Formats: sequence, C-alpha cells, structure tokens
Amino acid sequence: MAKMQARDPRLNRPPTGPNRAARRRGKSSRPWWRHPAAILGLLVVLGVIGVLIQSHRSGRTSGTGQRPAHGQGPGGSEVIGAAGAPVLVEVYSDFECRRCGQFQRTVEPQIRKLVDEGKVRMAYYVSLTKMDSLTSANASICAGEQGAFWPYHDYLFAYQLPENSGSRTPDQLIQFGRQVGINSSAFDACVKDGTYNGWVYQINAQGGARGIRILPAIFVNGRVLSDPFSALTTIQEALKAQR
Amino acid sequence: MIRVGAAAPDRPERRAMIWSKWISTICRFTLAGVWLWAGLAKAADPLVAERAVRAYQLAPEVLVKPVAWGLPFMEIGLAALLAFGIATRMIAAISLALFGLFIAAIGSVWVRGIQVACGCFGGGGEDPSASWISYGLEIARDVGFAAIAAWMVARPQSFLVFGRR
Repeated sequence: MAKMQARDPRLNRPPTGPNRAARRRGKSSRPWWRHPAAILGLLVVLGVIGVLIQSHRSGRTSGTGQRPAHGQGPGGSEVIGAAGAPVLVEVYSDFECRRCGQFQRTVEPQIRKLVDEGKVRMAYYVSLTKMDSLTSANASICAGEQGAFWPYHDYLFAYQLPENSGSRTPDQLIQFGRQVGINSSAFDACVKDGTYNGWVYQINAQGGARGIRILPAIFVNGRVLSDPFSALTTIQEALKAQR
Repeated sequence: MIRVGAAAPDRPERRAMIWSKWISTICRFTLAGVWLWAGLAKAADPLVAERAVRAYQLAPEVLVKPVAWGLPFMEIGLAALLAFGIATRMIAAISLALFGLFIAAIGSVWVRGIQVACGCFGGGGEDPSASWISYGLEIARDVGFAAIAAWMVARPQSFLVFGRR
C-alpha cells in the first residue's frame, strides 16, 4: 500500500472520516465484497450454479422420455436383423458427428451385410455429441414410428453437414422424410414438437451409464469395443466362437 | 460512482502514472472481453464442452463435468468483476494462473501427440486437423493474454472503476 501511495499523489491526502474510524478499530476499510475470501467464494458459487444449469440443460437429470412403441431392440432401441441371430451389435451414434459418419460409411455397410445374411442383429441407439443434434435425433425416431428408421438413418448420414456448420432444421428434416417416402402429418408434427426429445435424452443418459464417453460406441454381444473401427474383426471372432 | 482521469498532469512522474492507469484500463476491459467471450462460447453447449474437456485426457472422469460446466460460468464471473474493477489485482492473478494452466494443457496434448481442437472459445473435441501450427498459435495467443494479466497484477490501478477505490 505504501508503494501505491508514493505512486499516486492523490492518495497522500489524510484519510477521510469513516476510513480513519475504521482504521482506529483495526479493521480494513474495504467493503466485504472486496475480500479475497468473498471473491473466491463467489467464483466457486458461480461454478456450482454452472454445473447445475448445464447438467439440467444436457437432459441428464430428466430421463422421463416417452418410449416409442415401435422400438423393438434392447432398451427400446431401433433394431434390424433376425431375432435369433448369434451376434448382437449395438451402435451408439449421432447423425451430426463427423466420426460417426465415418463409421457409418466404412464399417456399417459390412455389418449390414452380415445382418442380411442373418448372422447379426444390429441395435441402434440415437445419441448426442452436441445439444443441436437433438432435432435430427428426434426426427429419426419419428421416422421409426412410420416404419422408416433405417432409410431415414441412411439419408441423414448421406447428407451429413460438415463439422461445426450448424444443424438440420425441422423443415429440412421433414423434407428428408419425403425423400425416403414418409408422407404423414403425424411425422411432421412429431419432428416439429420434438415428441421424442426426452426419449433421446434418456438413451443418451443410459449410454453414459454404460460407460460411453466418445461416439460412436460399439458393443458386440454386450462388450464395448475400445476401437469402433475394428468392429468387424470382433464380430467375425464372435461368429467363429459360436460355430 | 465512476471516476474518469484527473486534470492535466503537471509533473513527469504523474504523467507516467496516468499513462500506466490508462494502459491498465485498456488491459482490464480487454481481459474482461476475453473472459466473457470464452465463457459464453463454452457455456453455449454443455455436451460439446464435456467432449472438449474429455478430449484433453487430463482431468479424471469425475472432474470432467465440473470443469466443463463450472469453468465457463467462473470465466463469466471473472469478466464481470474485471469490468467493474472489483479486486482487480486478485482477479488478474487468478487469470494469470488460469492462462498458465491452459498453456500447460495445450502443451501437454502437443507433447503427447493427441489431436484435439482447443475448445478455448467453444467447440473442441478430437480434431484430426490439429497440428503443431494450431497448438503453437493457441499457446502464443494465451501467452499474450497472460502478459496482459501480468501487467494487471503489477499495475492494478485503473480508471473507470465501479465504486471507490
């Protein structure tokens, strides 16, 4: 403080009334909100508020989604393939995540071939890497309701936007529906109302509870793969073990 | 009450002091702007923020969400305190420490060969296009911010401060 007084001549004035009184009582003249403890406390409180707000916004705390009637896979997921297939492949993915798109283009067609041969049953969990993906995630379940989840899923990935360039709007998503042959006002309303938003949050939270940290995440017969892009090797091994 | 610069200086050291206070004023509002921008951008999407923090592979899993979701709000708080000029030296010291932490974090992904987007001003996550150029630029930028914070620690006195000093 002495250094500062030397620097600022205006501070060389004798202290004013309340200041002097405070000094005589041996107290600091600073108001309470300028004390280091108050500032640190304020920052900690802000951090806690942030965690509460964001955990609420990310939907992890809700989990009261309307379960779609058509989801016949484990946990209400979308599913393709014979019920008696020896290998169950579970995919957690996001239509608007670049790495998920890579997986869909490179690995998924090979899994789908095994699905067609009746060797694999593939379940699909619509998950989120960002909040904005919710609209397209919900729309895909709406398409599922119309019995068109898989063509809609293919279409969304085929026309995936580049990373960090926004998200699909409800109107675009309804148009995509027309492209795969969905002509239903129920679908349009479902996309616009976000009917399955809560359900998507719930799937996402369940994925988190299963230990998923990065998308896409692949489970083969209930076991998570460390590298999703090596899924085919694991599936082939699982098929060999069945024989 | 807001007080603006006093009357014309009459002595060289006084002129130097007023100069220093104006520089500190500019530094204070620059730093406040940086924190506000960084905080708002990172608070925009909780899922993206979570992914960005996790991609660094530094914080243990239990700390990923507290860092991803709490830090941006603290940054907005730092911005507000700086804008009002409350506890400037302390806020500047906290800012300096945070920039040091960020520089260390970027340095560590660079050294470990992990490719991540900074996520310093929103976005983030794994990024195959990350290279020594992007890491170098990010570190250089943070060193610049740290220099501003260091100046504020040395010369916390400034103009346009809320309330009495």
